[in-house]
Amino acid sequence: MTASLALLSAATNITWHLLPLALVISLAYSASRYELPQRILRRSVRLFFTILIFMLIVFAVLWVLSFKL
Amino acid sequence: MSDPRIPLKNPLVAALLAFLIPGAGHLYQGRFFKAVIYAACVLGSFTYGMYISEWKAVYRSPDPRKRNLGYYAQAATGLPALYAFVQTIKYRDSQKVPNNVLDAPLSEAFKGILVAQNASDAADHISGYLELEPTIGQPGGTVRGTFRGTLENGQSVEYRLGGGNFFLGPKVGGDPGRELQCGVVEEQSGGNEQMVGRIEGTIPRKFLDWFEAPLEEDELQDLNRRMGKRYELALVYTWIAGLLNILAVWDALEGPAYGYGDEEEEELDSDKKKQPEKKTSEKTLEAAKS
Repeated sequence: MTASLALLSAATNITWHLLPLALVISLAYSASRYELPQRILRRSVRLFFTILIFMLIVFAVLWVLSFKL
Repeated sequence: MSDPRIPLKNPLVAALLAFLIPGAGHLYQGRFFKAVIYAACVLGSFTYGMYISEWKAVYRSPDPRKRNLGYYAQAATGLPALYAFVQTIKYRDSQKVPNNVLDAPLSEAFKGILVAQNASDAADHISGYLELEPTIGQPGGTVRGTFRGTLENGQSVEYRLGGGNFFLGPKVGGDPGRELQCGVVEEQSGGNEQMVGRIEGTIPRKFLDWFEAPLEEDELQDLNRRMGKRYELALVYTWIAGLLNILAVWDALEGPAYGYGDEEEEELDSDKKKQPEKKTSEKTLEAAKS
């Protein structure tokens, strides 16, 4: 189990590791803003997609800038 | 001012608990949902960061001239990272012990290479068990003992250890393997011993002697060489874990920053109630104009 997890971790592109990171940031940040569970979950989903869109925009800009380099 | 519906109990105790064990402060306050979220997010990202860095992402530099900003972010995770403070003290103490002296008998598993005295011979990989005892004040080096094990091809071997050339790494260090080097001797006619080679390798360190202990510069370079960006990613995971726990501590102390969570909905409801009144007043104005 641990060995296969290590293999998966090593084989995965480093960019994919940012998704769980964005998820924990969204959850913990939203939890520190509100008390109601439904509200926390709703806000964290929104924040997660906001971070995701921001990262995609940055990725697209960098991709365009590095085109044919 | 926190919402009265949120049971903060003793906020200072809750904040201290939240700092030491992520989620524990909220558990003490009976805010179970948040306790689960903080524990899972903070401990999860901290553990994952440690895991992908071979448990070497968290350490505190023993050099007081070096800044430890990264470690201070990690230290906010609480007890899981605070052990690095203890390790730094233990590391400094272990550095004071000379590397060429064995202070007590040693019986450990050993893994490494056998280097013959004749430099043209290739080194053999060996693994097995060694027993050493200090012989300070006696002729023939500072240690004496035996190695029993196997070569890489499975052949059983036994060597007498002794002579000079003894080196033992510090008791506390960032790597699970403690460096050991010792001479291999053979008895010659007349009872004299002659050094015929040396063994170089590692013996295991106890978990509490390497976990979160300071890394040597070459160990750090080796980690960066082997892992590249993955090691930096591990650092980011552990930093983020600590920074998120600061939010959790603040939440345990003061309650949520924006309120209970139903305020906006109440405002929306009240806006809806107000809207018909506005329309009525608009109608009155229109009627007055006409």
